[in-house]
Amino acid sequence: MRSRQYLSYRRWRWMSLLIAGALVLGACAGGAEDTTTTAGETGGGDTTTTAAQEPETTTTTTAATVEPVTLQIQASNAEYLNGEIQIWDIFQAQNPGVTIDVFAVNEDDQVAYRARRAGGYFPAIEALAMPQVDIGTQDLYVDLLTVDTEWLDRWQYDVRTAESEFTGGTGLRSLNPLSGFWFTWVYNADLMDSLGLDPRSVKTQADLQKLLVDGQAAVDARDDIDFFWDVGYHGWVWSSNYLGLFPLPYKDGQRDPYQQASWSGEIEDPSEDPFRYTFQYFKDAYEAGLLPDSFWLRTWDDMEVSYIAGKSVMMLHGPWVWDKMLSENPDARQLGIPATPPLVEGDPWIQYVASAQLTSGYRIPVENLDLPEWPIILKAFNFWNSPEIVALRAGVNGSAMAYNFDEPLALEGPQYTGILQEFQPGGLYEDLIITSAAPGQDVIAQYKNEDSGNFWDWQWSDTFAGVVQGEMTIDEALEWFHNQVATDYTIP
Amino acid sequence: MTIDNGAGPDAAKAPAVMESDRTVVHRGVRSMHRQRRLLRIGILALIVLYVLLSVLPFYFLFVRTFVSTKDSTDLWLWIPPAEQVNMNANVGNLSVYLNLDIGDLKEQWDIPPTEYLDPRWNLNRVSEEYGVPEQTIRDTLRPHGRFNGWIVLLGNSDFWTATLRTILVAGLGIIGINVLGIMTGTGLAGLRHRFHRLIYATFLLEIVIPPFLILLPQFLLVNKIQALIPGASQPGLVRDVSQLAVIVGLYIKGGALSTMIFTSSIGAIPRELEEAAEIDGASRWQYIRHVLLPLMKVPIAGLTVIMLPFFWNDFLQPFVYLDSGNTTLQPLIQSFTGQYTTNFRIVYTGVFVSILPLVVIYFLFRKWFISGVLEGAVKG
Repeated sequence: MRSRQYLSYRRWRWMSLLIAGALVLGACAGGAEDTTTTAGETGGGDTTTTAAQEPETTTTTTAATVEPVTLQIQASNAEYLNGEIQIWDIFQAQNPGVTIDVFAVNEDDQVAYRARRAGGYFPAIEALAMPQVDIGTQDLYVDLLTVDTEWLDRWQYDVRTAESEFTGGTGLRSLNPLSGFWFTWVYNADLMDSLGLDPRSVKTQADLQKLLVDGQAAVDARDDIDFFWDVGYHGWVWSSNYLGLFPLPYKDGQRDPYQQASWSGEIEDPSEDPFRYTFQYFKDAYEAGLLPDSFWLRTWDDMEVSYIAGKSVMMLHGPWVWDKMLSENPDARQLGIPATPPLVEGDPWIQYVASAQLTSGYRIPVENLDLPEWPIILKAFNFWNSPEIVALRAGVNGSAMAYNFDEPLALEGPQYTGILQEFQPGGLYEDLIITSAAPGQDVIAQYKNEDSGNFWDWQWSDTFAGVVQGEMTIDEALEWFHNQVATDYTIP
Repeated sequence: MTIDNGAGPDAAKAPAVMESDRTVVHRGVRSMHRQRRLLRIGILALIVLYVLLSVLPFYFLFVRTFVSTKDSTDLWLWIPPAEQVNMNANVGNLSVYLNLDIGDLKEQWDIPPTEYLDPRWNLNRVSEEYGVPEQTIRDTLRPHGRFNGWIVLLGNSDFWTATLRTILVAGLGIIGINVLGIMTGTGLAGLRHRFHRLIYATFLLEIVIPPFLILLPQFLLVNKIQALIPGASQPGLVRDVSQLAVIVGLYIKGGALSTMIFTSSIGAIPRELEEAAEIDGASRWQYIRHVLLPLMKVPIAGLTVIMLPFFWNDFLQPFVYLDSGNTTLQPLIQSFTGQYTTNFRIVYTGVFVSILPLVVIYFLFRKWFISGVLEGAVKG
């Protein structure tokens, strides 16, 4: 009977109402647990409520009971969310009534997050992984020199003036104790041994070339390895790191720490532009069959996965892939060598480290100044930059810090133990010259025209593709680059 | 002896000819049967192939929910073998790359929650420092060797509440867009005004405005309106409900597609039906309930088929408008990926699980959708 297939209208209506009511209650239950006040316009659940006692290593601050308050604080990276939650638990234990809601925004979410910020949302403390502050956005953040910011003397450089020197503005909006991103060669030591090669015997650029050629020949004879030197494309890595690394062995490539003159338009003649060394390097390597086919279309993630899977032997990479490898294979042996060997044996190696993240540290949105919970927000900010907590943060992400500790920091991060410790006195590369500066791209960021795009993102990959395939000369590529800078930036 | 049957000299040949004709006919019939059978087999093979091609992506997606990042460069036709627990693994790395909550680990290993568990310690050291038996650690982590994505996702209470919220906003969105579409369509179809076309075109204008273009001003506007609601600026039920209401409101607001579908469908209904209902004493509501709605099955099914996946899979609007603790499925799944790393198992599991309810809904209501489409086909 057809009528059996259907509920009566009355019953259907009641059931619908009941289901809808249950859904509303269930859907809101997760987010409605927290009924405290919050910094800014935000709130919601997802809070960390675990009370943790203050460990012996932390700074002693008076545990004062305050009105219940929830502070939304951004994690440095999505990767370190769990580790940083543990650290913020200490602050919660020291400050009963304060709940810290730690959230993370990853690379893909940045655009949506920034739209939300532009629409009025603001957390108590914000962290951005990429440099995004320029003169135009300075007013959005608290000038840390005008409030009671503690621990500023701990930085290994004059952090009070660093930002104003960088941007030409005034004040200090951002604090980051990280020493910066170190891009070095990283290799799977077991695979390298199986190929009978030793990168640590490299003394010059010519040695490095020979290693790459021998390595590729050895890999070609094996079915289980795809690439010796693996390369993938990542807009930020290529434009802020790769471009500036390869000119460093050359005298005119050492003109300034990170080719800022090239970005600023000071150098216009392609034949004088240090970036020509980078193009030439990749062109030669591609023609010699040392790079993956169409490497400009190969994603950075694909490259990393290949390395982790043991299908690639070495890469020129930053800090995070070392841990990534260990997470999948805790027994993996990884070692490294500095990025740029000298041209002549006996000359010092030069290792570039991207600036001390002046523009990409932690900052406080200026709206917080007007909130009743401002004192606790500042207290949280000072807690985060205190020596004991910075030491814990160093442990979480395994990075070296540009920060003075009371006792030497025993870093156990794999990049540190695999290569960075060799830069210390007594290490294999103790004579190495460390050069550090803000990438030229970041320096001119403040002059970027509002309606211009990020030409340095995927368009760079097209340009590299054109050069290595012979569709474009290096001079033409550099001319394109200078034209793009002239179009997209108004540099005084 | 010859028997003359009067059929003439050719008559003797007749049975043979008939026999031969019958054989030919039989052969023809057999051949036709064979051809038909072959055709049927061919069609069946095509259908099977089509079904396989349609189902295989889901199958591979399912298999991928068990494939770790390390193995992700290989093609896996079946679930890979479980990874063994390695006691040299760092707690921090496990936490980052397997999305494990350090607080949960401490609880399972009877480590006081107040202890700061150094993320650089490996499991052997944790075992030694806190006296946690190695077997306990192995037992805790062993299931993650294969089922990490499933355990982390399904064990996360946020996942279930996010699923409920998604069902809620998608369900209310579908109901709302259909109800409002029918109302708009009824109004526009019955409109006899010199500005009729202008009003109709104004509704359709929405289709040419890219949603990204109005994201920011719309967000500002919504923020201002939300600020008028008492209690919405602080965490709690009022804030959560008002945020979800915003999402539903954005889904159902003056949709060009629903207006187009319902205006044309309702416009095609003979006016005499409405007049007949009126003559029979039906109220406006009775006309809509008993006459209009049954005739709207096709457009309702069509609009639902188009809009449900859109609402269900929406990432941007829930991400922008909802707090992280009050979010829906897609932003939650996205939150499992890192800045530099991705635990592919949890992402694939999240994607797989998030499409399951849609598949179930389409299976449950397939009769409606198909009958709706067929009804439309017969009626032309």
